[in-house]
Amino acid sequence: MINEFQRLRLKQGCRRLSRECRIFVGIVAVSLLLAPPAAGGNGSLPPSPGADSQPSAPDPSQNEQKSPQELVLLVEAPRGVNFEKWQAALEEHGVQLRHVFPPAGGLVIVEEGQGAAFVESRVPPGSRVYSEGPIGTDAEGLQASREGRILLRAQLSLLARDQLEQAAPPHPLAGDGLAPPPENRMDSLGSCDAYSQYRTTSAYLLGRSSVNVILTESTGAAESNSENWTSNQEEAVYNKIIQALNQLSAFYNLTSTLRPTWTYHFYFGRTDARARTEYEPIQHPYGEESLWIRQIFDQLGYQTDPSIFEQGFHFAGDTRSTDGTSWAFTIFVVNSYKDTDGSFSDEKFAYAYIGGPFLVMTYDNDGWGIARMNIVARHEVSHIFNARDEYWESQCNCLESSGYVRYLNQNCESGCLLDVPCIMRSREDSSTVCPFTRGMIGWGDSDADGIPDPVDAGPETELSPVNSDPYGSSSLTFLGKATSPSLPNENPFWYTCDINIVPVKKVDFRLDGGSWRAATASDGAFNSSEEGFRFALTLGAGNHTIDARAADSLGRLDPTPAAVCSSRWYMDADADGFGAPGTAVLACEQPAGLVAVPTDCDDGDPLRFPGNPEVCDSRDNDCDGVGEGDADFDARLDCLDDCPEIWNSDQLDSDGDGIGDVCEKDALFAAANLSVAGFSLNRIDGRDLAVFASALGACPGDPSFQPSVNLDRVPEFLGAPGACVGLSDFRIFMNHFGSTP
Amino acid sequence: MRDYFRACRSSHVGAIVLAVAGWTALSCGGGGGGGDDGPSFRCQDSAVAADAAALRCGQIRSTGVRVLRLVLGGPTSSSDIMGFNLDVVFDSTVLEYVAGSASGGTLLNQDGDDPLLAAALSGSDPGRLIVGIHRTNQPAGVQGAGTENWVLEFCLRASMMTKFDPSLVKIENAEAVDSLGQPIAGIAFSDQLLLSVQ
Repeated sequence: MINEFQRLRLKQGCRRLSRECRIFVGIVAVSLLLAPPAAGGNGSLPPSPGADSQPSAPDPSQNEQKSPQELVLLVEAPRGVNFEKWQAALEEHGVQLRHVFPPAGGLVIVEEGQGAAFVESRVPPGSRVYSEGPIGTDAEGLQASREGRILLRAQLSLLARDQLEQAAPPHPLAGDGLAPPPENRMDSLGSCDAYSQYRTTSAYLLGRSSVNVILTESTGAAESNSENWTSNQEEAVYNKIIQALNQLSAFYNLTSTLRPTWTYHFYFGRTDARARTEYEPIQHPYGEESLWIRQIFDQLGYQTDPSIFEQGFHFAGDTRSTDGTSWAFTIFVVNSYKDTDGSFSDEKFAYAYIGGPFLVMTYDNDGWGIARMNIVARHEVSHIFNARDEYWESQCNCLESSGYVRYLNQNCESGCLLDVPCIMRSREDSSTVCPFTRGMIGWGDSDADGIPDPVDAGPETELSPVNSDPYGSSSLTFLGKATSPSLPNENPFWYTCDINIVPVKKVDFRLDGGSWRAATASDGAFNSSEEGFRFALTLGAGNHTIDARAADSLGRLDPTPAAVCSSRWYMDADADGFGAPGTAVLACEQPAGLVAVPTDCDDGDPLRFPGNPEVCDSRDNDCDGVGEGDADFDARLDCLDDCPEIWNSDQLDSDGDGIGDVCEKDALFAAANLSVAGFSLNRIDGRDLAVFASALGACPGDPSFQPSVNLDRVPEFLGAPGACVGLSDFRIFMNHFGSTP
Repeated sequence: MRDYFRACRSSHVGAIVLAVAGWTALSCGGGGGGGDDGPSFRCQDSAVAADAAALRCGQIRSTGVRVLRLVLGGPTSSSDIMGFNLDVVFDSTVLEYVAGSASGGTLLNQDGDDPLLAAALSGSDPGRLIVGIHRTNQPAGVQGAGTENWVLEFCLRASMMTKFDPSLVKIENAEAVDSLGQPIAGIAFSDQLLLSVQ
C-alpha cells in the first residue's frame, strides 16, 4: 500500500517531473491497486457467440456498470434553439449531458444524491425532462427527427438495467490496436502550429468528445453487394455504441466535470448516400480499407486530402469545431451479418488507430456478436485515446508506452508488473480499466488530488498596470493575462501539441487585501485556456497593493496571485529629492535613484526644487516659476540692483545708502510729478494722472509717447517692453500718487 | 491708500489691467447695515443741475460705511469730457476713507473705454482724498447725456460711530478736463453733501 510519505512525495514532486516520474508513479500506484475493484460484470459467464442473432431493440445486454441509484434522464431541447448555447446554459447550471444528440437533446446520467427534480429545476425555459421517456403526444417532437428518435431509443436502451453483460469469448481481438502509419504521425520535433493543433483530436479521454458513427453501405457498383442494413440492425449498433461510451464514462472516477461526454452524429448508409461505397467492405482485408473509406470521406467533402488519415483528422477537426467539443473521432461499422465469419478477409473484425482518427468494427464482430459490440467498442475507443493492447496475441510488451502523460504498458499479458482484468484485454471479463490503461487515456492521478494528470496544472495570473504615469489622476486601469497552462504532451505517437482543455473561468482582483471583485474578460467571456482581462481602480493617496487571481473551470485558484503595487516612483536624476514628472515606475519598494514626489521643475539642476529658498543666483530655486529676474533690464539681477524698478545700469548711489540715486524719494517724486500747473505743483494728483493717462500704452515713436512718463527709464534700444509706458511705470506712479515732497 | 483702475485696448497695456484688477477693491465692504437700533449714519444731499458736478448720497454698505457718488448733471454742454480731478475734503476726526473703495462710474466708459482711476489720501492731510479719473488714449471725450451722470464712487466710514452733527464733505481742486487736457469751464463743482451720525 502506498503510505502517507509516498503520497506526499508524489504530490510534491510530480507536478514538474518528467515522464519517468509518471511511470514511477504508475508503478507505485500498482501497489495500491493490485487488488482490483470488484468488476461489474460476471467474468464466469460462458461465451455466447451472437453472430447469428438478429437483434431486437432494446438490446437485452446492458449496463452492468450502472448503480441502482442512477437515473437516465432525457432532456429535450426547445425546437429551433441554438443548441450549443442551450447546452452551455445547462452546464452553467450544473447539468452535464453525457450523451448529446444535436439538435434534439441529450441524456443526463444523474449523479448519486441528485434526482430528476435537480435537473428539471435547472434546464433552460422550453426544455423538457423525462425520466422514463416521453409517450404519446409528448414524444411527437422527438419522433419527428432522426436524432430525436435515436435519443428516445438510447434512453430506453440505457434504462434496461437488469441484464448482465455477456463475457468476452475466448478468442482475442486479433491485433486490433494499430499504430498510425509513420507518414501520418506528427513530427515529434516540430512545433505545435495551428495545423498540428487541429490534428490533435484525441489527446486524452476527458471532457467532451464528438463521435461520428458511419454505417457503411455498398452500392454494388464495383463488386457484388452482399450486405444490406436494416433499421433494427442500425438501432442495435447505435445502442451498443452508446452503451459502450456510457460505460467508459462510468469507469471514470475523478473530478466529475471532466467525465467523458459524447456528442453523436450518425451516418446510415441505408438512407444517407454519403455513407455509401462502391465496394462491399467486409469482402476486403483491412489493408484495403482505403478503397471504401476514401470514397466515404470524399463524399463527406474531403476529396483534396491526400490520405484517409488526413481526411479523418480533417473530418474530426471540423466536427469538433462545429460541436464545440474538445475531441472527435469516427467509428466505421461494416455490415457483416451475412458474412461467414463476421470478419474481414484477413480475419480482423475490429481495429483502431492509436490516437485516432478512426476505428472500424463489423456488425457481428466475429464470434463476439452484436451483443458484445459494446465491449469491442469501448476497447477500440480507448485505442483512439492512446491506450495500448494488453492481450498476449497483440505482442504487447511491458516497456512500451503511450498517453499524453506517458505510461508504461505494465498490465500487458507478458509477465509485467500487473496482471489484472482490463478493457484492453480480451479474454476475460473486461469491465474495468486497469491503472496503466487509465494513465494512457489520461485518467492517471499521480498525486491523488482527484485531478487527472494531463490537466493537473492550476491557473496562473499575470498583471501589469496600463497607465505609464497617472500622476494627477487617481484612476488606474490594469491589464493582465490568465492562463490555464498546458502540461507537455509526452505521447510517443503525437508529441507535438500541448493541450489543456480546462479553461480559465474567471479572474478576481482586490485592493489592499480587501474583498475580491470580478475582472472583465478582454474578449467578453472567460472560456479558453488563455484569457486577457482588465479592471479599473480608483486609488486614494498612498501605497496600494493590487492582487489578481485566476480560477479555472475546476474551481482551482491560482495559489500565487499576481500582485502589483500602485506606489509610483519617479526618476531623480539630480538627486535633490524631487523626481521628474512623466517618469513613473510602479513598485512596492522604492527603487534606487527614484523618489516618490514628481514635482521637480528641473531634474538636471540640484539647486532647483520645490521649497528650496531663493538665493541670488539667477535660478528659480523654489520652482515657483519666478526666478531672480531683472525687471528693469539694466543687466543687474533684482536681488543685486540698488533700484530694481528703474533702469540704472550705472548703479549710481551718491549717498552710499544702498539705494540708487534714481530710487531716492525725492527723485521718484520729481519723476512722478508730471504736472506742475496750479494746485498740482507740489503734489502728485489727478493732473499728473491725466498726463500719465494720455501717454499710457504709448511706445517710443508713438505721437502720444512722452519720455517723462517712462518712469522706469528703460531705454528704447533695449527693445524691452519697459521702453513703453506700461505697468511698471504705472506702479512707480501710483506708489507716489497723493504724495507731496 | 491708492486706488487705480483702468483698462486699455492696446496690448501691452492690457497687462496693466490684469495686474491692477487684483488690487482694486470696488466694494466698501460688507452688505446691508444701517439698522434702526443704534446710531444712524445719515447723509443729506440734493439733486444736481446740468453741467454741475456734486457728491450725492449712495447706499449704506455696512454699519457706518456709506457710498458717495460723484455725479454730473446733464445733459452736459460739453461733449469732450476726458476726465476729472478733484480733492474730497472731509472731517478726518469723524470720517475716514475706506481704502480701495474708489471705482469708476459709467460716464467715462460709455464707449467701452476703461478709464484710469487713482484715489489716495494726501500724504500731508488725512482728510483729503485726492482723486483722478481719466480716459486713456482716446481721441475725444464724452458727453453726459442723462440728467445725472455717474462719474465715480467711493466710501466713507464714520470712524467711531459716535454721534456728530452734519459735516459738509467738500470738493476742492476740482476740474473736468477735455481731450486737450484743458479744464472745461462750463462744468462747475458744488459742495452740498452732509454726513452725520444721529
